[in-house]
Amino acid sequence: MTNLLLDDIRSDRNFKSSLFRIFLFGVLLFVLDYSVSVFLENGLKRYYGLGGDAAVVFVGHSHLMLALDKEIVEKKLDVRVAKYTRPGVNVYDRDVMLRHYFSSCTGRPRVVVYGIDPWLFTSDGLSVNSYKLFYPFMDNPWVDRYVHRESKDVFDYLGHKLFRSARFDVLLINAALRGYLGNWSNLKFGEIDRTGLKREIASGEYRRIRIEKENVRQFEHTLRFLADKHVTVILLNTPVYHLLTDVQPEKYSAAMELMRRVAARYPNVRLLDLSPGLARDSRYFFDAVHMNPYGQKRVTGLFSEAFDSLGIRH
Amino acid sequence: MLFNSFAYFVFLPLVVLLYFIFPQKWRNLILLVASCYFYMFFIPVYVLILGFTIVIDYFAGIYLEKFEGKQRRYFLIASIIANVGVLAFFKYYNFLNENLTVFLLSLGFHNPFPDLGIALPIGLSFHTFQAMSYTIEVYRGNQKAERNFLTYALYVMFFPQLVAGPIERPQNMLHQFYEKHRFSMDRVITGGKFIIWGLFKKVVIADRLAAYTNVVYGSPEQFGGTTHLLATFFFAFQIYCDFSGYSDIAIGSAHILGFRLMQNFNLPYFARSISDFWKRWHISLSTWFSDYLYKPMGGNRVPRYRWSINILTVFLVSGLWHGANWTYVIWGGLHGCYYLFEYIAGIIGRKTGLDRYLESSFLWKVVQNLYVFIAVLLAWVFFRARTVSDAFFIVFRMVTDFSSQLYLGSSAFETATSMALIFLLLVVQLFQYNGVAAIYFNASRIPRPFRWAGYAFTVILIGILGVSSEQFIYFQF
Repeated sequence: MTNLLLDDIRSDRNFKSSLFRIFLFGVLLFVLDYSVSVFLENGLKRYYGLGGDAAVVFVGHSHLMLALDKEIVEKKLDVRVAKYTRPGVNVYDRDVMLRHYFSSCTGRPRVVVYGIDPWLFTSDGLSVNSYKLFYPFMDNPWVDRYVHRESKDVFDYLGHKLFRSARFDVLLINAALRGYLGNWSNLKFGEIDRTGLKREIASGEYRRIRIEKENVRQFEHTLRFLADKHVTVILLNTPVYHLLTDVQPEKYSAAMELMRRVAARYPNVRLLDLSPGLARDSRYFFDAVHMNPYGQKRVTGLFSEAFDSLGIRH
Repeated sequence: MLFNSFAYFVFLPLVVLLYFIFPQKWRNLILLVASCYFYMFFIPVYVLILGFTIVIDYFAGIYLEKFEGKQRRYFLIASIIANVGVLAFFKYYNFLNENLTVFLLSLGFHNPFPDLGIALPIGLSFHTFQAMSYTIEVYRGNQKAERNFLTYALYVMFFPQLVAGPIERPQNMLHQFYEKHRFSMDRVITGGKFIIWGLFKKVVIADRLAAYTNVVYGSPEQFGGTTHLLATFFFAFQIYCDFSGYSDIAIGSAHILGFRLMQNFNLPYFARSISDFWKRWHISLSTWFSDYLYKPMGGNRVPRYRWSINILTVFLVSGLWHGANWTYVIWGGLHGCYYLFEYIAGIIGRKTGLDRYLESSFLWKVVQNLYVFIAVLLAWVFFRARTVSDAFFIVFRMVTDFSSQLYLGSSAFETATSMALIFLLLVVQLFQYNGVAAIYFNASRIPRPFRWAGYAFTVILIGILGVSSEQFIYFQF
């Protein structure tokens, strides 16, 4: 039966030239794919400060991303800062991020600012399949092993290993371009829609605070890793608009109390809670959990002052 | 099976391999089995519905040829009733029943017919129309009845065009199942180009735009006029890229196997009149309506008032074909009105001599393009909105509310990317319109290295910007 196909191939006068054209296309695709991925990966490294020698590293999700201005902190504290923050990352992802950072940096950081909030131990509402966030860094052996372990199947892993451009998406292109432009600005302009938030809360559409044991264990696991690295850790509770915590006061207190207790077990860990002072002023918020540029400036100012008062040598 | 799924990119090479390694006598069977498998990937049991109409139309075709006179007409009517009946039951029962309930309630009665909650089998409208074109053409004597059941079944089940067209004619397709196709690497390359371009339009542009339009059209009351304008603008390109992307992948897949499907889209947003738009948009459907509805009603060989009714009827039926909802009927009606408006404007233009004066003006051509685009855009509001009241609300907001803040989607960068992709598409289409870049199987004037670099770049964009599998919009029809 295969003879039929072979006969067709033999009688196809253009077969060899067509095959050669496909080969050339493959080479072109490989070169383009590699170049684009290297360009984007380098942009991302600049944006997140990976592979550098920053003295202070910010790690967290979008709350921390929009709450602290890296450039102001660098100016005020006269240190190099790496801001490795990504939207939607949970406690597991943050652990991976820290290990990724430490496996790629050229100089060991002295301070890690770890973003916390009342939902630190809550899984709902954050990324699922979050290993996908690390596709762009699959060239790093540590990340590669992690993605390999977590991938849903071999096609998922190999697809991203071989087709490098597929590791990126629009958000990452944005981050990479901002990395090249040296732009870390908070672009979430505008003020929180309080009426809308009240409506959502009244209809029960808000994120519940839950304490999940696995997440607490993972958090402690990360703190132990940082203690082994002899790094000072600041657990920074970024402001949350009060309506969202007022609706679940007991859970809010319980989550914060648990974080304090865990922090107290580690001599290298300090907890800095900036929420109470700012939580009632809507001017600072883009939405219930994200700061607008005005709020970011205020939080960064308070953080820089507190950084010195914590007595951390940098 | 979705064209934009991983499964399809395993399925297609496998089918191509099996098709070319087996002798000719087995090939149609391989394609039929593959087509059934392809269709059963959605909801397996629905293949029985297709099987029912296939059996009826197969025998109807044979009897249409065998008998003469009135009996032939009865067989044709029986075939049409069977096809339209199946379509009406699955597609329009819920719609008719809901409207009957409203009507009877207004008279103080209860509707005795139960709500069956029937789900429409994927691609049934396409399948039905292709089947009907066969029996009508046999009746007209333009096509010999197909005696081989397997070949006939394959004609209406051929997987590349099974669920969303192009709606083929028996004269174009049936004889192709008897041709001996030889494997050709050239055809793999050409078909591959269609598939790459179709995938780009679907997963990079259409699905990305869908993320925005779904949010805005999902709750229109939450957004202002400028947001609705942008969402409708996005939808115009979303539906074009979704459907023409599907057609491209269908044409490319069939081409690799040695089959030639008809062109379904020809740069519709470059049309300069609504009649021109319908010669470029979903060509296989508009020619179907022209051949099997418009012309049998008398076409343009009847008095003007009858012709106007014919035009409106065709567009209203076309609207109803798209979906069992008044929004689609209004969408079709609007296009019918545009068509008649153009006819009247044409008469005025000819009488006043304005047409000769304006015809050579470049600016006038731009104005015509803009008029068509805006008119089509307005009609898309009705096509996309969930209800008629939603559609009127959106149109009202679009023309009265310009002060509300523009919704920028999940991020401003994401929305800017969508705009940039539409711009890129328009640039490519401008090249195609001017005959520089290839469209359908025409030759391209762009040097080969640039073309190949363009395709490589397109693959990269699919990798980076491709959004995961969303079903094709036209599957629901």
